[in-house]
Amino acid sequence: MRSTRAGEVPDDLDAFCRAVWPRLVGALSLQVGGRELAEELAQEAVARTCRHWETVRTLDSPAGWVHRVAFNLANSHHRRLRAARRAHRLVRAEAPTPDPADVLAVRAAVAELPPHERSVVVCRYYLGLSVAETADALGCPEATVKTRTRRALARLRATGIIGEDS
Amino acid sequence: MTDELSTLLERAAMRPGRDPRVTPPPAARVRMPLVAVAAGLIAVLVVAGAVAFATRRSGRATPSPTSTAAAEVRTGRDGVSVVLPDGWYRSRVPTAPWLHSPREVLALADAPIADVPHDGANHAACPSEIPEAGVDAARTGGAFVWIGDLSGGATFDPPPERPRSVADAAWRPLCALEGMETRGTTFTEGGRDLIVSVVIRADAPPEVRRQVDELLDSVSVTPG
Repeated sequence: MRSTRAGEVPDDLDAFCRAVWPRLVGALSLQVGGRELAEELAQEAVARTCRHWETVRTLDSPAGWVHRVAFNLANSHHRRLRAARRAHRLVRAEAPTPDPADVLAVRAAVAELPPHERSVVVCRYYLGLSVAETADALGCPEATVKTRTRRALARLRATGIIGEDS
Repeated sequence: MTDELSTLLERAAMRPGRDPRVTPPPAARVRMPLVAVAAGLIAVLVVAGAVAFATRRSGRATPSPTSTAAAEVRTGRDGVSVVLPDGWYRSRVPTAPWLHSPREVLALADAPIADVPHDGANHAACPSEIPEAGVDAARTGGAFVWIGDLSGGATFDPPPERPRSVADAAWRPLCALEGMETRGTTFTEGGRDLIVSVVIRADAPPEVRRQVDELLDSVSVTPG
């Protein structure tokens, strides 16, 4: 194993973080509905990866660990935001976006899903994780993943963004 | 089906506008050979013995020892302290602000604990009043320890005296949390009735469990 001097970023850590970064930001953007916040949460997940790298690097699936951290952060953020909105009746101003209408429709449909179902859809159909990997990333049983997937797909079908035969 | 939805999500997901900031991991602790550790220990004992002998001969009073545990965390108000294991964190604000008896003294985890809004809402993860922020931290790291003060709580029988080791404590399971082990215990020390809740990820390594036991054995209580 290549040794790293104190204060240096190990090559494998740097490569790992850069490799997972785009999908991490993409997944979180679908989960929380905004790029800036997604980048902020993804950066926190990367920071924790750096802090715990000696342990994370030995895991069977370091990427699975990062996904778990990222979705926990997103869920915590969602709870805090919900509480803050309750307390202060905040209204979030949406920035104008140049994206095409069909893309906006997909984002809106995904954003309408309950957070737990949204996490499952993002893990299964964006990150391409298996049922077992999704269960591991979200910290729930596989049966729960299957149930949430079924419900989420039904909701998405009802919006018309995916076909009835889906 | 999966292709259709995957394609849609691929288009809908936002691309990062910047690269990640990758920081060096904390410096690993240097592992000293056992022989070197033993030699160092002997040297320290010899010096300490010589100093004690010289002090007694000179008739001066021996200075009281001061704490050398740099990582010791103390609560200023509540007089309960623990030695925080390396890589552990203490919550910046109470994780269970809705509780008054028991009242939170310390909330500790081996991953950062998110701040809980003090909005009067109950942010418990389950009926045992384990805070959600602590469970999140335990899922990220491996363990969460919550210590509360039962003083003033009239509904409990007096807890037993604190055992010599946490291994001897009367632990009981707390509410079920997916993928987690939960347990709790109460004890009395220095006239203070304390309650401890522990959440450990089911697949947490033995090192984390050892840290939890050491942390709890390090609890120091100022008589109330």
